[in-house]
Amino acid sequence: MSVSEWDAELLARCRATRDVLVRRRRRDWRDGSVFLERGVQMTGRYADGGLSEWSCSEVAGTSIRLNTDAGLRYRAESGLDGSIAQRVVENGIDVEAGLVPASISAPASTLAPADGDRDLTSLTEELLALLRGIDAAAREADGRVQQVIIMFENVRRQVAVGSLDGGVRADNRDLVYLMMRVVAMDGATVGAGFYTPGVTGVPADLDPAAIGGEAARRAVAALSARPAPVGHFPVVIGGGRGIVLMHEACCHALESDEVERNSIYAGRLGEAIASPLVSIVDDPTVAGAVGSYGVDDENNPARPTTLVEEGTLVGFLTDRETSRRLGLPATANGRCVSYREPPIPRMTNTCLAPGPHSVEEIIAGTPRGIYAEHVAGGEVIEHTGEFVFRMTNGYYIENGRLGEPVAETTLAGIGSQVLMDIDAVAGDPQLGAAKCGKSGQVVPVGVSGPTVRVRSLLVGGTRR
Amino acid sequence: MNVASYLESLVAEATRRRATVEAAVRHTSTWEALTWSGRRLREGSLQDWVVTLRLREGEHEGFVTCTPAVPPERVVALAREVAGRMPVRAPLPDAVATDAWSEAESAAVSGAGRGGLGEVLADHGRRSRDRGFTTELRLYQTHTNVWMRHAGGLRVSYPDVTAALELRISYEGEQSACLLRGYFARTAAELLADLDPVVFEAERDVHGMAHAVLPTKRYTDIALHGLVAARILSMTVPAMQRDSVLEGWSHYRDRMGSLVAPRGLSFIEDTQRKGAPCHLPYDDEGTPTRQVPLILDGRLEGFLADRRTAAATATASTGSGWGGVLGAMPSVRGACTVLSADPSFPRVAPDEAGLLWVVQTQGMHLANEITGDFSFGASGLVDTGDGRRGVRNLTVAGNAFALLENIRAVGEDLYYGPGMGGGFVASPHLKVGGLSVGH
Repeated sequence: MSVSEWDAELLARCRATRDVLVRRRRRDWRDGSVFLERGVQMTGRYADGGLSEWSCSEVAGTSIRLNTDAGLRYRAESGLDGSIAQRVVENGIDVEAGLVPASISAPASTLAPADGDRDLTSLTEELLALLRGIDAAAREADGRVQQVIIMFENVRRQVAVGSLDGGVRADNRDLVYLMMRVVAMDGATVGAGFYTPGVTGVPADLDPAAIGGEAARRAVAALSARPAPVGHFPVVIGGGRGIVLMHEACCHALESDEVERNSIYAGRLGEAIASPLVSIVDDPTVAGAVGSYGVDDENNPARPTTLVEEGTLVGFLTDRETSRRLGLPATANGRCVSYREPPIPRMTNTCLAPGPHSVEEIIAGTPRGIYAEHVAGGEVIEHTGEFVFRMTNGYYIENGRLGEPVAETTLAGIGSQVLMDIDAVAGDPQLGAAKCGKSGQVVPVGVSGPTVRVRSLLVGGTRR
Repeated sequence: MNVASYLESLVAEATRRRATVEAAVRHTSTWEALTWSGRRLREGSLQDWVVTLRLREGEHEGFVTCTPAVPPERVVALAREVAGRMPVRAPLPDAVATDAWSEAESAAVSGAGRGGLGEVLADHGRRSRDRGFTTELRLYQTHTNVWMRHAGGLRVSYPDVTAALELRISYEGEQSACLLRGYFARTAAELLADLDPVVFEAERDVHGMAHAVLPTKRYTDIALHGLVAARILSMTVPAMQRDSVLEGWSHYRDRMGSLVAPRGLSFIEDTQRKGAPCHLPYDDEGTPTRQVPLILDGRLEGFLADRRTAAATATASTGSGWGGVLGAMPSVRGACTVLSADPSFPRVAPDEAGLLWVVQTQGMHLANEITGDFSFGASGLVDTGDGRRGVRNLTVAGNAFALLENIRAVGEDLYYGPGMGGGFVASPHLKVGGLSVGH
């Protein structure tokens, strides 16, 4: 069975499940969707030049989500046989009805394994070649590299989504995501480099030499890092993964479930919320970015959504449930981590538009501050805008020049102030990969954009 | 096909291929309810089946998970494919051959607290709203039945129930403030029974945060709310695992018997503790769990081990091979690690004045568990003589291993938080030294 036939089979099952609901639709089902997924996921750990852990998972499940007058109601089950729809129309979708345990699925009800054996073999070869290549490149880059640890996730996943008032669509959600920690040693001094490359695609889409070299460079730079200072400083943040600044400081509070709960940007459409240098688009169509897809998990075709235009708030990110309740346009941002969880409004790829400055002039124009070359994740309280994110590699800026490396630390601020405090944006956009957790659902998100400078952020180090 | 016959089919198919297997089936029944300011926004349920299979063929081992809709022949073939890619591994010692099997558990779905629970939560939210607060409550309960069957003879099953409450409460005072907290228990019924005091405490704290004062001094006397303390202490658990010792990065390697915490404090792994949010008589490798003292009266007393790390260090598994909720390959992890103090250890009262009480953190998940270094965003409360008021937009930096050595006093109540690699860590409120507060 070819991949396209596999598509067709999943779509047919999705259509059949949806049709049962449409035929027996109840009056209070305002809207709703059916979500089927199946795939193979390889996760594990590559350390000290070999696989130390490797799990291979076959996943298959179905979920029905209904927007009712009483709120969102959903039921999810493993398996793809479509019987869930019959149970929903006969017994309702309330929690109590969903807790009657289904019997263990009969093996005969599975989809045929498609060309899974061949795919698994070729995927595995590609993945192992990538991991070996990264390990070798990191060790070759610098003799002080002692350990290369790669947590990997290689997903080949297909989903089919249908909606009560629309048709059905299928989508590929292939993903390679690596979380690397490289340890370098110089005598008794230990430095660690952190890097999370990723792509929607296959392992061969990533460049092992570039990834290994970059991770090694970060670890070696950490060897000579001085403790981070404590206090408020101008901070220059590198592009790519550095756009987690916008992800935390701005965009979580623009997700419509947060808007409904009175986030700091609720009711502020049309207002200036950021420096005029700031324009942000959420774009699930960026080629190769880990947050990209063809259709969201509620059957809305992917398309870009402008959120901030030259500092002015112009849009929010919605799912079906909150767009209906708030009267906002649907923006194809209903995402779930799997059939097991309901969709909620999520970012896809957060893209900050390039600005007029060069990185060199931004650094030269900073008498004393911090250059956050690489950052990891963060966290925000959407109601107040208080946020943090982690700087993993950085440098002191002294007299407009990069100085000594600074040890990893936390950067903190209040989103509404920080957005106004962005006083320089460079023209060097880069693409980064990250994972974002919300309500227990961790999904891949892309971050794209250039180097920026914030007039003042709280640096949470120990050096006074 | 029932669970027993499915597992027997797996064992038989592997045997036919001259391989040995350790297989498990998990049935998970989860429900959740989410209310905001008295409105029932979301309710739903999940019925999930997961099969896990560890197969050994020659000197190679493969691990797969799938649904039981995948035929046994296909599962075994997949595991053999994976095994063929893995490097040579030493054989695992067999789990103790035990027979503790119950078919009846396949029908057991916990009903504790589920009848009309959305309305119960919404009612709490409406009452909180009447007091001037906006409160979001998310409650969920997961009931898991586990059946394990090893070719070596093990045949056991057990049920486990875990419930969680996430609370997000906001208040508009002199400033806008918001507080997020998570609580865990065995059942939703237990969480609902304690909901009033939990909401009242959160209302009191967020009210203080909404009337914040500017930080004016260098804070040296610091207390951590039990939920904050548990998150920080969770960073120390990976260093108390035998895999981190074997890999050479454990802070505690070569320190067995040394003082690593003040005398009078103990840190104990206990997955069957009364009041804990789990009840796990076996780990995911089939080893019976037991109490494992990691720190006893301040001294490093032991490390957690699964079967593989135990074999590599000529010790016995402590029943600490855990695979996570969805059945990933088991490895050494803490499942329920609890900090406790002797009765003679100094106490800190929950309303003790003269301290900066750190009641909320951001970014704890970004800490470095290898070095123990952390730096997170924080909000605190101080007693101004005019009631407790907030101190906002702080950073708190330090080292988790040093913090464990610098505990000066503990509170009475125990708070369970999530562990770094899954599971739970519990701590009372702590009065500590050695932290750097930025503002």
